[in-house]
Amino acid sequence: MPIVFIHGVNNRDGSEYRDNVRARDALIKELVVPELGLDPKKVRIFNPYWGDAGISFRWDLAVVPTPTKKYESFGAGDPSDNYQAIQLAAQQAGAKSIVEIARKDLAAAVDLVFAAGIAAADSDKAASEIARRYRAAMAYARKNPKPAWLDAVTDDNFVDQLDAEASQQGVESFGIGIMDSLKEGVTRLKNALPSAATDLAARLWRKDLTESLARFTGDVFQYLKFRGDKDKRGDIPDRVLKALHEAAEAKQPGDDKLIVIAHSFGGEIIYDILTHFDTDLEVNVLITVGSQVGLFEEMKMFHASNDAIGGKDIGKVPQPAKLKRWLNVFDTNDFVSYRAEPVFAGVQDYAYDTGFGGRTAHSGYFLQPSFYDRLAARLKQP
Amino acid sequence: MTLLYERPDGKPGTHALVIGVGHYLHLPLGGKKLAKNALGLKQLTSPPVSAAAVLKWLLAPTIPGAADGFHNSVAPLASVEAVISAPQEVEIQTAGGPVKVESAIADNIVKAHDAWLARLQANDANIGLLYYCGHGVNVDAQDFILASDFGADDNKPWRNAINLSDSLFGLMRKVHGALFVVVDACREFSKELALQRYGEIRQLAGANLQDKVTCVDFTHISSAGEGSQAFADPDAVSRFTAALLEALGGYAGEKRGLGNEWMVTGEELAKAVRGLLKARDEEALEAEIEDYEPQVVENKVAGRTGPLVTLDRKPRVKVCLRLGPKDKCASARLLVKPVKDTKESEYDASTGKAALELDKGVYDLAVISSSAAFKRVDWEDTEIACPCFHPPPHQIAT
Repeated sequence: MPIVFIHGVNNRDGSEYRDNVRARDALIKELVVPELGLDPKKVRIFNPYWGDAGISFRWDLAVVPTPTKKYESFGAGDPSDNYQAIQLAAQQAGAKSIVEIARKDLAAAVDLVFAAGIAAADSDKAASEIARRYRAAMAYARKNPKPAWLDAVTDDNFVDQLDAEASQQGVESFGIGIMDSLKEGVTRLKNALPSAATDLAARLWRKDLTESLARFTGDVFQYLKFRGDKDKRGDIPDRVLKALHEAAEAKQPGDDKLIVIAHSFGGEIIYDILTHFDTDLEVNVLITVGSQVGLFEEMKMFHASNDAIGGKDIGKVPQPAKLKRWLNVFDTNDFVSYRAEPVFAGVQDYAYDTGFGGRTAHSGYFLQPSFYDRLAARLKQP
Repeated sequence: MTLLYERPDGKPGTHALVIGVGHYLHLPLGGKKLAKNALGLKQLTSPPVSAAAVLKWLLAPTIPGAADGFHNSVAPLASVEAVISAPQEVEIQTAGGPVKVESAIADNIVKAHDAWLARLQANDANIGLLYYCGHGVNVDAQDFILASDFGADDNKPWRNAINLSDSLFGLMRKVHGALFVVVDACREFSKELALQRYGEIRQLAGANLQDKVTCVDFTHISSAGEGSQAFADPDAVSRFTAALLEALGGYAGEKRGLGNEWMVTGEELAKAVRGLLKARDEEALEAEIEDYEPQVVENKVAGRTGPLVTLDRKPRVKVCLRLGPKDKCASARLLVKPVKDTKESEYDASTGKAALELDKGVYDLAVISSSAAFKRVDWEDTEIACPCFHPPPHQIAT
């Protein structure tokens, strides 16, 4: 079952991008794949990168109003180290500690802590192990929502106790194992929590939001202008299509489903591919997450868009011919995610509450291990 | 500290200190206040079992009717000191009956060490054996072992950790005879620890690095390479300690002089432990055991390399010869003949694998087909060396 993940706009290669890929791959392999009855070790995940073919700004976004210099010192060390932690912490704005969150909702604390931990993983192996430990921890939290030991722990040793309570008996290691990565994530989260609710954080978001919007719209325009057509493909559809072909060739007997997960504008790219660039490409399941496919079809922006189809009385656009199943996930808090059911026949819309607010909701889906649990549950349904 | 055996006659002997820590009071599920920085460490079940296995091997010669164990004709067993922490008190069988072993809290480890060192220093011809099994970490290229009460004090979280690296510097300048240090613990680097400024770490033996090294024969074998982990199945002897005991039990050794005695030096022991673990890793990978992680062993050997153990028989070697392709092997037989002998032994190789044990030595080997399906292949003068002889698979030509 090869899986292709198509990223959306505003993704640029760097430590944050690579950390996200590592975390996401581990979570898909450990939390989604086993639920589909497949072996995580045998699944290949393809992550075609097209960020460097996106927009570039001639004056390097000099036009973005910059808050005062105070914000340049926000956070310790490389801000990108804390970025995911800050996003996660912002979800819990108002909480002063992880243990405080755990005492109100242990499952939510587990999701938060393991999301932070996997974001801090420094190897694929550590990421996979953290994802596996998450399953045990979440199962424990659901069975024991208010364990007595919560009264005695602090943020420093919360995850130690949780992991010990939740872990299955198995081969012992006389040392730390992957806990270093998990605890580093917890430390970043712990340090981010007090800041998340402050004015400082809010101003950082503002600067970041303006830049993000610029890159978002810039990447969209870049794609639309230079995507080419099926006779002469532009760079972005070409790269993504090559990865899709490679994934299709990786199908094996008994494990022959091609699954595509597309985030944000990645949904538009794959839709354009399936309806124009390569209408013969067979995809078994497409999951668009926080995507705008419906919106772009409303605007008739795709190659295959037909002006004759549209409006409540004139019917829906047929699903791409070689696409077997399409699940569209959106969060009402994510201001750039849209439904698809009103526009396309055959697609299933699925409202998912990331728990994030505003700007963070759009990129929050894939940070949370619980998202993958729910994705797996939906995929198992007919 | 618990003295399980002593021969107080002052003659040269081997003095052993065995430390096993499985129950950590201030780690999760330890029963006491949770350490502020628990480092993600868990309770362990293997170290008490591993330490008990080492003690059983050491004490065997002192207990009538016991199986073979420690033997050193140059420095017979002189004392055995032990501290072990487990959820239940540990009892060890001695010549005088079962003895309960004191727990391995930091104070007890230090006292046991001091008593052991004093006995070791009493004669320059003594041999010291220090064995530890339990949690270990590496910070700033220094190895630390953790006592059972590690993490007791939130203000001094490292008070019950022991700097093993610095301790060994000290011991090498205090011991005049031979010293064997065997550590079965992880040596992972902890980022969390590296950023802490720990107060008051213990050291077993202080060191002035300007003092001359007096230890004439030093062996240090670690169950994990730098930054690596050591593994064990729950409630079982750990992989490393099992390999150690196997090596000491006859799968290591070189001839001692011209007589019929064999000796297991630090060099031979380290090589044998590595070889036995490697063979285990190969079997696990062949059996495709899920999530199996190979274990990397590290050793340092310095000085004259005298024996920890002497044997009055030849060491044994585990031999495994693989043949391929499997469909050609149905009639395969392995022939084995010591070069100095005329007697030839025959072994079945029809599955493509012949597994047997031989005394260390030089042999003529051959593979034949009982049905003339392929031509005989000979390997003359093949050295079969400890601990394992696992040549690459041989492809039969037809």
